[in-house]
Amino acid sequence: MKNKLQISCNRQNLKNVREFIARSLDGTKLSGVEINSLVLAVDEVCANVIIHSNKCNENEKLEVFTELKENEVIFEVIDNGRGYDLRKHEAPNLKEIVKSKRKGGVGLLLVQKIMDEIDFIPYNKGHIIRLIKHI
Amino acid sequence: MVKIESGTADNIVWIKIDGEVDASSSIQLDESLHEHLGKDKPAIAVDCAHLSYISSAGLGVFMSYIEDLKVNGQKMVLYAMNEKVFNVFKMLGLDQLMNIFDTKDQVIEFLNEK
Repeated sequence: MKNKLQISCNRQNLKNVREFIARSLDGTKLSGVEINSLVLAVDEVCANVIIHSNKCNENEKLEVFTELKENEVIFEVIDNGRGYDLRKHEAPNLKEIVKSKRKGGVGLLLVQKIMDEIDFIPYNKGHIIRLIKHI
Repeated sequence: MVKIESGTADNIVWIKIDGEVDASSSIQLDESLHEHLGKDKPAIAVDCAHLSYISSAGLGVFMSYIEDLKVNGQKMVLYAMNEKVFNVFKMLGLDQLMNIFDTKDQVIEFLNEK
């Protein structure tokens, strides 16, 4: 079963993304903690797309697709902005982040910890970020 | 959406977070913590019982003050997190870098230790 959500690139819409992901995982055998982790992973990717790829430009849209299969859950985020290849993201050192007093930088690390597969696929003028979790 | 309240009692600043701390609301948590930061200021205890969700933006706020707190000699503790929220701290190993407790009694005991 496939579901779709489209939002404009405004941070306040992240709540809608989280509700959409939680709803699409409703009825699966996943625990509350597992569902929260998957919601978090998609939230982090969308926050990244909104803030960095589209500079919070509300005229830009992003789309989120979910697909439940027997042994895996697939999330796709379609970003029409300039994009950032998550796979090339080097895991930051936590102690260095603490030392530098930086307020960001751990979102993509969380995504890498939560998801089993991360793909970055060119699509139209942007790209698709595909996240897969084996269940 | 998040609501943050704070008040001082027993020489401890009690901060209560109610709601979700994400990339859109983390600024409010940041402002509240920043206000209570400083040398000779009391310890900070953050009640997370009604914190229903946290993303990296919220974690980033807590992490960004660890150094300042150390320099100030000021303690900060978080307590009463639900399992989902605690799991997010744990995924990054922040449970090892920060003082996280289950109950308010444990917080008071910890902060009263010399």
